[in-house]
Amino acid sequence: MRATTVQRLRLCLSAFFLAIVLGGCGASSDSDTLVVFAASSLTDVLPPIAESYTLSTGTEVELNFAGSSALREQILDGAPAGVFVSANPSIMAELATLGLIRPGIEPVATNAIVLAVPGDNPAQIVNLESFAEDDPIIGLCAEEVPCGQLGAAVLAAAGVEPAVDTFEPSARALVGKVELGEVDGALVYDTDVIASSDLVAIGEPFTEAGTTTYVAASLVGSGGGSDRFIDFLSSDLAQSALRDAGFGAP
Amino acid sequence: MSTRGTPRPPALLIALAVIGVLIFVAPLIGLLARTPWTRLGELFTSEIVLDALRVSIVSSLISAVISALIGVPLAFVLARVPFPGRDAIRAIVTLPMVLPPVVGGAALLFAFGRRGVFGEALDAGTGLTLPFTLTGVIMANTFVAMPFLIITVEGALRSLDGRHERAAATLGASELEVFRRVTLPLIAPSLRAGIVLAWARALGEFGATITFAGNLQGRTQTLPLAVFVTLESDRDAAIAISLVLVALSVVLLVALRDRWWVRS
Repeated sequence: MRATTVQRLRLCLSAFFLAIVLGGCGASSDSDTLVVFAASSLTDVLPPIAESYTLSTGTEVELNFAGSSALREQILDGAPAGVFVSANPSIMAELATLGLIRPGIEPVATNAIVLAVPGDNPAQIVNLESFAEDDPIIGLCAEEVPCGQLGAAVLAAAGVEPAVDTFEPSARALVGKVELGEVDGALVYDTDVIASSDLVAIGEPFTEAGTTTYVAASLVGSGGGSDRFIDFLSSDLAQSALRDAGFGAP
Repeated sequence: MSTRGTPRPPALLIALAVIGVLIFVAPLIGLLARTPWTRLGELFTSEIVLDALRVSIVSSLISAVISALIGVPLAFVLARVPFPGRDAIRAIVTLPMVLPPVVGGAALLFAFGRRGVFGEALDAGTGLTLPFTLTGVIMANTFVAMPFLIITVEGALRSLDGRHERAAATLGASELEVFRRVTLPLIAPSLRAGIVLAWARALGEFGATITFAGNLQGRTQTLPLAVFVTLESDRDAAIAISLVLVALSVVLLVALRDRWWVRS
């Protein structure tokens, strides 16, 4: 008798998993759909570009955003992507070495790291040196993701040893915590600060040590639609959308 | 029990049951197949694994203890004290069991973050900051784990018929004495199971922790967080940490065997 709650719980869980399994069967892969894997920092800018592409070509675009290194793992494990847009050229070079992408890696845009604080700058961060102090809550991207590698390079170039309080798993997660005012100072992408009304940049972007180039390539085994999409990324229309969002010219 | 005389089970049920078994066995095989057996020793003693193991053990054990200290009285009130809105309170208390943990973590941040509804006053009054600290990890763990203890203990309390407790009261024991010396021993097996369940849930907690307490090796990075970040940079380390979690889970299952493994 005392097990009734557990039994009920088990029943609920079984129903839940059944729903997941049945739901998963419904997903289909349409041949007229292009799957694009893209770095999470492109989350805001890429959907309208993909929509214009669909309008002009009739090909539906399915976008999958995640950290570039997570996307690399998915591609290594055989994820069915047509195009990969990486925030880190060396990840793309690695996939090229492994023969997973077609020749012709196309630079698409650039982005730079900047020091960001909440709108009212509660910890009165003045520059990178403030990152070495114990008091302010400092957030960086984990070094597993490109924005973390760039941030580390910026700090190394400035000779600052930061007293870090959290290494967030993605640039987006870090931006969210600065917007909430829980993190006092962070190194994020310039485009994230431009997109957010709650973030303020301190000083100019670190273009010397902290610039990355976004590169796009077609995966081996994908159709000609992949190459057409990559060409479209270089078109005036796509490039002006990228410029508006704060991305630099490749 | 003998199986003589039992009718043959329907083939369809057997086939579905086999699929069911595969769903659980296949991932385990996948993990073991990718395991770098020769490097395991070196990986198990690497700094990131030892740090995460320490943070995980400390935070999950403290969460289990807090869950028992607060969860048992709460379960008692829910089971025995009639008051208006009791069902609503019970629903709220068990909400974290079905809520995606990342939502729980965000809600904790909105409540107890430095700019949170309660966190701002806490920060101003005591200088205590909860996000990005071990205390934050323990809070996130307790938030998701305690409901498992509460429903287990509450179920046990409801199934008591109260005979022994009434007898003790008749003999002159105070209410608190009855609870401590009669009720608690009667529900001891369920309480043990509830504590182990809460500990298990705390040990595997990920979403609420990374959202509320962040991720810093040696301070807030638990084993699940370490798996998540190393999966993208050092897959061998991620597998080694996963094996540590599998081993700990097996220990927990053994601790729960009397409750969940009904022997035939």
